Amino acid sequence: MNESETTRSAMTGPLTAPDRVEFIGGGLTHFDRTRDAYSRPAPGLSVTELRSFGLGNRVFNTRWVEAPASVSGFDGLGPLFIRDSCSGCHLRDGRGRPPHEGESDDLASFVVKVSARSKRARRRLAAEIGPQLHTAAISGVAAEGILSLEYVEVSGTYADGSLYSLRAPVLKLRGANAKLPRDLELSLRVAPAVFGLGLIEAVAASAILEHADPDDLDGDGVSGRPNWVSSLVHEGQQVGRFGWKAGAATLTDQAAMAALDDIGLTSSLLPRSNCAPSQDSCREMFQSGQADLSDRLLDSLVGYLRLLGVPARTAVGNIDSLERGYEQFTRMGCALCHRPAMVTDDTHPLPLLRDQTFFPYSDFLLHDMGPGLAGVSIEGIATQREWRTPPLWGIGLLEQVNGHTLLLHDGRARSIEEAILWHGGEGKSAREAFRKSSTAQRSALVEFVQSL
Amino acid sequence: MQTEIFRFNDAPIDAPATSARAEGPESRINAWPVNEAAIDYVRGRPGSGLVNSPEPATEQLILDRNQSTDESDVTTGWHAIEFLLWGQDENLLGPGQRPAKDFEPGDLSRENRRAFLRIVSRILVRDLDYLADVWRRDSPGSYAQQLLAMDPLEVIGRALQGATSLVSIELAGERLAVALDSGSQEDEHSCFSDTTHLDLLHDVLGVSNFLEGRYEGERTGAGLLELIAWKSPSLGKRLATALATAQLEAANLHVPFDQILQLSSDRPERRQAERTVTAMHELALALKASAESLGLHIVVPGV
Repeated sequence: MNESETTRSAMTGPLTAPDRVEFIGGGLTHFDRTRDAYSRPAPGLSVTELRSFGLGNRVFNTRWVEAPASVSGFDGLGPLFIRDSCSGCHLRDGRGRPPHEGESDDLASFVVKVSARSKRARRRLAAEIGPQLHTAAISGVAAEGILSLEYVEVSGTYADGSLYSLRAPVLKLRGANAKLPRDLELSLRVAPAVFGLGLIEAVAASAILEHADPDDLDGDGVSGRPNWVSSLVHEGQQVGRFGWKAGAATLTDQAAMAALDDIGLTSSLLPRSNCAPSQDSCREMFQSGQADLSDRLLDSLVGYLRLLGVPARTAVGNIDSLERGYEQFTRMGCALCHRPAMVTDDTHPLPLLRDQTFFPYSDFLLHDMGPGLAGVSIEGIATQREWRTPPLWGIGLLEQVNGHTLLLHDGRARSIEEAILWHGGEGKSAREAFRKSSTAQRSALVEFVQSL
Repeated sequence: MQTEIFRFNDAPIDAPATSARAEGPESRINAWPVNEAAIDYVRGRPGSGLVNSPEPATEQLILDRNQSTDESDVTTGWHAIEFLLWGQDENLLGPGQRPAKDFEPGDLSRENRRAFLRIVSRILVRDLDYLADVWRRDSPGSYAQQLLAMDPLEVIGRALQGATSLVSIELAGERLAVALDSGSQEDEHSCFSDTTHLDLLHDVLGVSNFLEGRYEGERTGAGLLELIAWKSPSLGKRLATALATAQLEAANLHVPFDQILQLSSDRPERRQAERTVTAMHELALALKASAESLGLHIVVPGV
């Protein structure tokens, strides 16, 4: 059986009843539904894997300090950073959020990407700030600025006459130590949840490419194309899988990049500083030499991400109503991008990740989501309007784990409904189908998504 | 620590939230490791933590901040209290040496520290009272009564799931192996008071209570060991040996635990600590085999 047949049989075989299946993480599914639901190891780990997982978990939770510290091995924060730990943004391995009103930047669980419309301004920004705003720095180095965030409420109407309101973020930069161009562009990205990533990494590139339809040859209004990115560990262009714009091809890439960009940790893969070219004090404070994140720690961190388990679907109450919800999910066209099932490669080196049918509800492709959601892109070939379909699994436990229900790349959507109503571009027809549905249909759909 | 085996099996200590009740109080009672700088001053950061913030410590503030922005920003429970009492452990020979004058009445920080300790102790006592209450067998609708009404095999299955998880994930893994692998004192369970070895001993004692049907030395009824030995004498023997070995190795851990972390891997203290990890793992395997002999399927990573 070739890969496409494997995928198709998984889509139509007995496991598909996606409205019923509980094991949405395949063999990585566990049944912890407490606030640690995103943090549990896959149930089938061997004792050696569990030991390495434990160290990786420790690395993920490490509060890095400025070098040199009395405890060696866990120092090297900065010069520039956003938070001092992975778990600061990915709290309990979950999803970050935009700042609450009046909340200080040192509690950020998001990054802000920085760009400008004109090429000249972009070049200057790249020299003075770099691609991402660092809201914190070690002593002796200035942070790059403070974010200010406001929202504008935009009201709309469902076809049945009932009202809704969406909030559009307005981002500004204060106290920047660089001259800011008039055509500055800022885009907030909350930290995505990190469980189940091993499965996503273990899908064969061909199985992702199979769903790509960049010219919409099948005429369903949804195109979808892979992001092609370079990798620190593989030669040549790779299919991007991780991050809001699928900017990272492997978990090693993702972990090493985030460690450097967001915490300021060097590694053997990225031995440079995270200072922009004209940030002199930052460059002076940077200590080259030994990697902050040793190969051993980076490997255990990646192993940890690879083997974090996936929480089973939240208590599936009323099967009939979930069936109705799933009907709506397919009828409205949600499943064209939020594809229920995926299958991992059957040659993956880790037996746990081999040939697993799982239900991420994503095709891991880029889709044009319209101008309303557009945001700075510096990742691979993704345009401003293109976003990777985010997986929906675990969404029902978000409030339990992270204490909020904020969705989309910048957390502007306060609920599943709002996230749907923000869909534009290729998602427009699904949004319109939702908007035109009855209250009962809409709530069946939301209940279904909430059950994932 | 003797009751810690009741975690990981949907019992009141850590059962998930439902529409009828909040999640169990475990993360409020026992969260760890602690970034102590979220609570009070640490070396090099005299103004750090809630204690030194201008805001007066209140129960609401302390609860709101508990692990709210980083898992290690713990503000409540045993280990917060441990840090408040002992302070940072910068003493290789023993525990932390927080001066008593930190708690004398006086400036804003000291008043705040006194209030903080009072409040977190009160929260802890309240959570423990709640647990004691739901475990009362004479209290109508209590968890104890629910257990008594259940199929006994289901109850044994829950207890085995909890005990195996505790021994494997927590004891062998997070409390021993992680500290040995990171070499960092921050990964020591009770790193401020240097009582880590006692935590381990009492956790294993909890398993022994369950297997032997004892509490505080008194026989309270039949233990699981007898049931397993009746099902399979060889398995009963394996379980008893695994328990005894785990207890012995735990008792032999070098004290204080943080000294072990400084030693190279060929030193006897460190090799003994590795044997303790292995003993915990063997105990977890024997517990799982025991569950299987009763037709109970338990799932615990690494076991």
